[in-house]
Amino acid sequence: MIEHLKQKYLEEAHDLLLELEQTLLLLEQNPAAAEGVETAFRVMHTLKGSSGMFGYQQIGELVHLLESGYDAIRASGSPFPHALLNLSLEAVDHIRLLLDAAAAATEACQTTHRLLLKRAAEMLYEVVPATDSSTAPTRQELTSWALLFAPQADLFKNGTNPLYILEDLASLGQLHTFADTQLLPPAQALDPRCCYLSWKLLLVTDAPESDIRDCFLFVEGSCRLELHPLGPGNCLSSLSEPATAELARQVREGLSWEQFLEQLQQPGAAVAAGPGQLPTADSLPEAEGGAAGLQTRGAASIRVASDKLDDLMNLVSELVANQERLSLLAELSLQPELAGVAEEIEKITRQLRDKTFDICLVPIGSMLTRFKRLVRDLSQELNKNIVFEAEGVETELDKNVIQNLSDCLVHIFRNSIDHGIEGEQERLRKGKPAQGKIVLKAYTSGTNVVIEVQDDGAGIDLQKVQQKALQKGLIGPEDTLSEQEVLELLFMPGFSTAQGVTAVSGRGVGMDVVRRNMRELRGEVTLSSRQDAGTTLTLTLPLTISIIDGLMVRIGDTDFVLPLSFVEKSYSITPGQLSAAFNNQLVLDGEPMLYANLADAFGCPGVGRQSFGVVVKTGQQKMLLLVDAILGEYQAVLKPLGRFYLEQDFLSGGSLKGDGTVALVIDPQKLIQDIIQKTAISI
Amino acid sequence: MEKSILIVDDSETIRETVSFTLENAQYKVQKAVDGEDALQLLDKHQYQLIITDLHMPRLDGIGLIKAIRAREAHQFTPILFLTTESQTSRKDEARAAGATGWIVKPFVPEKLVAVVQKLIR
Amino acid sequence: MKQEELTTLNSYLSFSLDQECFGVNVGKVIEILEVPHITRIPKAPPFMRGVINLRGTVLPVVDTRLKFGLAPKADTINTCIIVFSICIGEEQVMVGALVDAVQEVFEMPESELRPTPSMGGRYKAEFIRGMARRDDEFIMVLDVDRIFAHEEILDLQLDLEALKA
Repeated sequence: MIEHLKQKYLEEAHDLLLELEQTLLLLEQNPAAAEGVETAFRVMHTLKGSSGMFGYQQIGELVHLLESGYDAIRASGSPFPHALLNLSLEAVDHIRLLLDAAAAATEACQTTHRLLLKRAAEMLYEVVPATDSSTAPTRQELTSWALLFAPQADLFKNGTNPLYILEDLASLGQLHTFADTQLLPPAQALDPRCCYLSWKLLLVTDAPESDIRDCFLFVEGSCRLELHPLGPGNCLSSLSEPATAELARQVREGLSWEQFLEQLQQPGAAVAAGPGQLPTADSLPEAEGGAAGLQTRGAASIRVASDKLDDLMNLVSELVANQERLSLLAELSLQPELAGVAEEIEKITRQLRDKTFDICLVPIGSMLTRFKRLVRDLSQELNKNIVFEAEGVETELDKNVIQNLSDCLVHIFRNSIDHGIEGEQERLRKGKPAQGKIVLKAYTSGTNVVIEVQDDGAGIDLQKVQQKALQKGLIGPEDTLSEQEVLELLFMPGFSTAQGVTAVSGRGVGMDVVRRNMRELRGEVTLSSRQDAGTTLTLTLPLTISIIDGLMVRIGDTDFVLPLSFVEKSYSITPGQLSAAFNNQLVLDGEPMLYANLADAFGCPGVGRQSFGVVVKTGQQKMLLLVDAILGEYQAVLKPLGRFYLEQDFLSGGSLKGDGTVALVIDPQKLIQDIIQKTAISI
Repeated sequence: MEKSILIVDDSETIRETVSFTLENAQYKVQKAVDGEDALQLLDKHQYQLIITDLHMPRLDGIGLIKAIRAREAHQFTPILFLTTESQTSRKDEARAAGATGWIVKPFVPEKLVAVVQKLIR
Repeated sequence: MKQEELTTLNSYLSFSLDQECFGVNVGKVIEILEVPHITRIPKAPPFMRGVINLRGTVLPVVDTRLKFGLAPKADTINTCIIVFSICIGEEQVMVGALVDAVQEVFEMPESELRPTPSMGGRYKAEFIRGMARRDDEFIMVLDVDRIFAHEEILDLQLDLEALKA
């Protein structure tokens, strides 16, 4: 089967598995939910059907077993057995592996497969049903047959055309048809929706009986069908023409099947014959025409490949840049009409841009199943009692952000379940409810989306963190740290409070990785915690990663964009203030403020005039950046600088300006980190 | 004349596979994602054959078959339903509702075309 | 036409750099641009001249003079940017190369591409596909994939001298 269909199948299979997983988790909460069983059954049915077609036989056989189990439950209406639920969830995981050819080929996967099949069979059946035995059509000796085909009067109501069946038979070999018109009423009483005819047939064929029966496959239940072997070879070769005509007359007048057979057995009855004359009357009201003027109806939602969206996004941002250029030209132009057109295009472009961004947004709810599952599985594994709740699941984020975010959240959830929430006994001792709780809250705040993960666990032991940092030499014994500073230690590379490395979260990644990933998304992560009351992690992310509301500044002859989300304030700086600066600090509004001259930081000292300062705040760090000029607010569409500028990671990318040149978008977190490191050395 | 076929299935894979196969066999194919969707198309068009899955959200296959047979214009249109080996009870139900025949999933393209040719010429 | 087919074409674009003449297979060339405003990227090596807007994407521009270890020179009216599509590993990357002047496109069968005599320790044969003779001039045909994938300055000048000697 063709590759793109297979790709579609894979996508769909993953979606189905997700739906199944969701349904199963729902069923776990409410084992009596009949519609849940129905949905699970339907999903499995679909999965099984398509898996077989694309060569995923193993998926097919596993789902087949489960599907039958669900069918039985559905039929009996009994509540959903918990054991089947666990098995199904395991099967979901396993099928995901099977969809990956490389993973499926491993011995481990194959062993799992055998085990799952065995368990499923034991649970659901006494015996494993035999797999489809492929029956190859076997040619055999030429045989002669007599047939009776007497359809019920309502045969047409099922859309069957008996002539096609006769044609199919004729294709098997030599066929004589004898129509019985005994039941045919006079024309005025004839109901064209009823079938009044029946046929007696003689067939000489080398096809096996099963092929003959196959022709009647769909009408088996709605006709009388008799199949009588007359003997090997062509028994009809000696049937004379007059004999055939006589037989036809007799049949027409209602010769019974038994009499028909008798006639045939009479010596001298058989003739050599050409193919039988087929009735030609096309009496069936065949549905014809009407296919003209096709109208494809749009579904409520459609599926679009992710990279197509990326392409669209690129085109739109290109359009935005060119539109700005057009507006600029229109302003300079002497033709007043041009300004009107440019304005209109600007309006449309803005709408198009907003719509496109909107298309790329995905609700946070779309990734929740993964966490529900994680909480369920992990808490079972660790023998903890934890419930997961989510709020604001409709909050939307850029699809690319969601993908990356999901991994960070998994790590955070693991931490909460493994280290945060206590065992039941301990919780009761502390006077807390036995069941622990993890809440995910998502909401929009300005152009940011905030995601909080809150647990009501033990909280972070500040003392322990400090001891550990001391051991690791991250802080000195005389350092006194504020609570916030202690929590910040957790984000330092190489810091991990896990007492022992557990299978759950001790995988060598810590909160520093989470923070790094978040920063790659131009987001931030902060932590707050209260002893025995719980921990809250707050992730703040921009709505989209490809557009930035920024402040355009100039240094030398280059324009830079500072993301507005990091900009606190801007100042006009006098030479007097600069000469009074001391120890990298400048006094602003009566307060000393760490500052850096961006021209120096960018390695082109002496270029700038440093007439303006922009206060940038990243996390706990504030810094005044000196620039030549502030050009105003600017919406930057971010473009990657590419592999030649990987080293310059203090830039998040470039942005195309209206005049066709490139402005550079600064990553304030990285820039300030670089400046501080450098200053620390030079002091 | 070009024969036109309606495929009704909530699985995109099945829809695409069936239509790909049949289009290769020179049929004209239209697609519907469920029974409701199909009925809307059937109000506007005639088909020489309808192929439907039995398990779909909204209006399922049996419901769809009954609804089709209740319509004057489609009383005699052949209807094939997609089924799996395990479902003999559904087969009878679908037949009783007015289906013409069935295709057992999984199927190979040749099989599909062969079954379709049983019903439309 | 596909990239692979193009690179096997026997058409070459020649351009000048300082007093020297170089050639590249046209299969690698996307287009030739006048020099627009180039945005410098701070803290990048001098031979990375900066970035320009090439129809909506950000195109890096290499100052080929500096990349080849030649002396810097102000842009003239003849200076232009050759846009190459090069392979780095699995990736197809676009890069602009500033050259003093583009000369001509000429046809030459692969067989006339003479292997470069290996001489002198500094000779970087890996960056040169061979020598071609046009009238009385020697043209060094470059392997652009290798040249631009290499992140450092290539001291081709000395090799040139060695070659001609």
